[in-house]
Amino acid sequence: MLGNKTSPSLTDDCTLISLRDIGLKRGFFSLSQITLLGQRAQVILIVGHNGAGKTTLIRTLAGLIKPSIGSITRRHRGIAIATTDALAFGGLTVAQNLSLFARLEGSPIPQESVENWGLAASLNSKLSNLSRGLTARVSLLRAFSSSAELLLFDEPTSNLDDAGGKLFADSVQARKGLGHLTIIATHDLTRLLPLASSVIVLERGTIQHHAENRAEIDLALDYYHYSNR
Amino acid sequence: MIPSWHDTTERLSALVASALIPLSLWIIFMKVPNEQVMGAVQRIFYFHVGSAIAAYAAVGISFIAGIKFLLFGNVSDDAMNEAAGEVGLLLCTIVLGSGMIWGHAAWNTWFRWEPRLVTFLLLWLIFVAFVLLRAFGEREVIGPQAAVLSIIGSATVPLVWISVKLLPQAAQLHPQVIENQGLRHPLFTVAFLVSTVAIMSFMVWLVLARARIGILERTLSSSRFTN
Amino acid sequence: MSTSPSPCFPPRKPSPGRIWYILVQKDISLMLFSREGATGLVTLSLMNATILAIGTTSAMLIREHILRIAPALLVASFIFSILTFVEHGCAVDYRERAIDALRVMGIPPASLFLAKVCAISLFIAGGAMVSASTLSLLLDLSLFKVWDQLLVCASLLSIGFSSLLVLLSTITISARLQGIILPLLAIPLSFPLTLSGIELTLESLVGGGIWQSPWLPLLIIADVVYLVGGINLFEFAVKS
Repeated sequence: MLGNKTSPSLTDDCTLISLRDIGLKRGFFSLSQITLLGQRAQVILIVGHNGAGKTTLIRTLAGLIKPSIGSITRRHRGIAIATTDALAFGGLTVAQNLSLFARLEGSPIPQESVENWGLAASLNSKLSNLSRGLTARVSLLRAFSSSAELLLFDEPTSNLDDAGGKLFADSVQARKGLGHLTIIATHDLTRLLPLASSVIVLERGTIQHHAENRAEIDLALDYYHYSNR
Repeated sequence: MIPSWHDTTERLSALVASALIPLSLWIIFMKVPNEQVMGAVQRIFYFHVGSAIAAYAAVGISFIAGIKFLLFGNVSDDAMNEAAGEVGLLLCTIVLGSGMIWGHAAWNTWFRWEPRLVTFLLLWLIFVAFVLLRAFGEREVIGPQAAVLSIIGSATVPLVWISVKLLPQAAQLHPQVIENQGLRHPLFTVAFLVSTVAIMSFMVWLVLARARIGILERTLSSSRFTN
Repeated sequence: MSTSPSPCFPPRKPSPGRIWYILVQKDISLMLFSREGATGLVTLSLMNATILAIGTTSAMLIREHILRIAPALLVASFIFSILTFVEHGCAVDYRERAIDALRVMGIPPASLFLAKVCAISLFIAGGAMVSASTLSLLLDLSLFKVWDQLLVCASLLSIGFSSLLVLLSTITISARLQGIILPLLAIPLSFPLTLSGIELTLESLVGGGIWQSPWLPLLIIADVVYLVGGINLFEFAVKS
């Protein structure tokens, strides 16, 4: 039976973040009765139509929005986030931005990573002068270079080409291997569904389905595609 | 929701204001004799000073409500902060208006660059900015922003007061009635005290009534999604 | 190919002092290299001082009167030059939501505030020197004779104004009509700073110097109030 899942199948030691009955209202955007458990080595996809509350949920998970009701319990070390905004400084160059966040993080970004993400040629360009695709790559490199155990992404592949999308998927897979939790709000199911441990379908700020196995995921996505027509 | 003390205090202040306002008007216009120098115009003093004291009290309420809201996040404190700002603006307008009328009668000019008038002009501007921020800010986040503004604004008021006090004595044109023991006739003192208490209780009533509306608005807004 | 951090021990986060230093460098770089930043500040300082000097000269005042109104001209030029600069200096953090990345990393809001205030203070103190030099040259004020006292005034005013304006800019950043509300908030709230700046400059030019003046402790107290207030309240302004 599809619905909200509240009891983890693993021990509580694996739970990195726990949301209980979260509710909030911010203008047009709202969340209601959100209960969610995120565990180690999981990749959770959040799907829903425009205005369903995906971005609001991601920002709440990141601690950027404080819920009006409910509680959030955190056991993870650090948070990394990338959204459709660059989350970097447009007035600085790519190199300055990456250096800034690396120094604040306390760990340098290997040159190899910069080359992998195709940013070697753009290091001296101001971020505001880059295309959306390259800006997205900078933002994702910044997020993946962090050692945080909780990674949050909001539409990460919307501005990426095929190569960038593959690189993103590989990076998520690598973090899963390290035991980190990744939560992704996305419409790009083709690329990201194979990575998913569970899928949450949001509708009007509430969780309509939380699917944790293949069969449930298929049913949940059927519902999502049907309601999206 | 609405705290229990809110209802009691609102009713009490309404009763006191309803009783004292007509009484103070009767005393001011029917009993108090004309002042020697200024004549009948001097009666503005009772509205002017009472409003000034009430305006300072509104600043204090706004300050305390702002701190409480930032610390505890209760909607009643946010509503109280909003109400105190609006009522404070009204009172400052009364102070400036009555001050200018009195000043025109005394100095033949509507405004003098004089410490107390300048202080209230600045206080009025701070309240205007506060109300504008509430009006044009993003509704869901304006609470903490307005609370921060009211705390900084309240902290500025004593600094402004000290600043204008440091100006040369020649610039101190405002009548120092109470400090110079100008209320020599006993009826002057009675009229002053009654009018001050009347205006203060009216201020409290207005703030609590406005806060009640604010609390109900916020409760209605949040109940739309908690079901 | 993928990007992942070392699976070994988590990196050692920098100390709060080091974080502050990194953020100051970031803010200085942003303001130095942006068109609306340092260049705009210098240009506005020059323009405002020039316009005020033209107005004063055309009034055909005697030298003693010019010396008496010069402090007010200086402070007026200073205030109208810095408002746009500070607004821009704070807005850069919100344009691409970079502030969210810093908050999520756990950077304390107080560090963000202090770094911003330090960086902005440096620039607006420089802007004050540009205004002072321009007015001194155009009105033959010989401000250079009291440069040490002016430097102290400029520094204290810069700290006070930057503390206050950074906080107010952050509050108004999401408001419609930010361009109107920020000056409307800033002008009355900065009155103690404005008046202290005028009186101290007057004392240095025609009085007995700033060191014995009661306005100096008032200016220092105002700076402390706005700085401490900003450190404690910035968190709430940013979170909203």
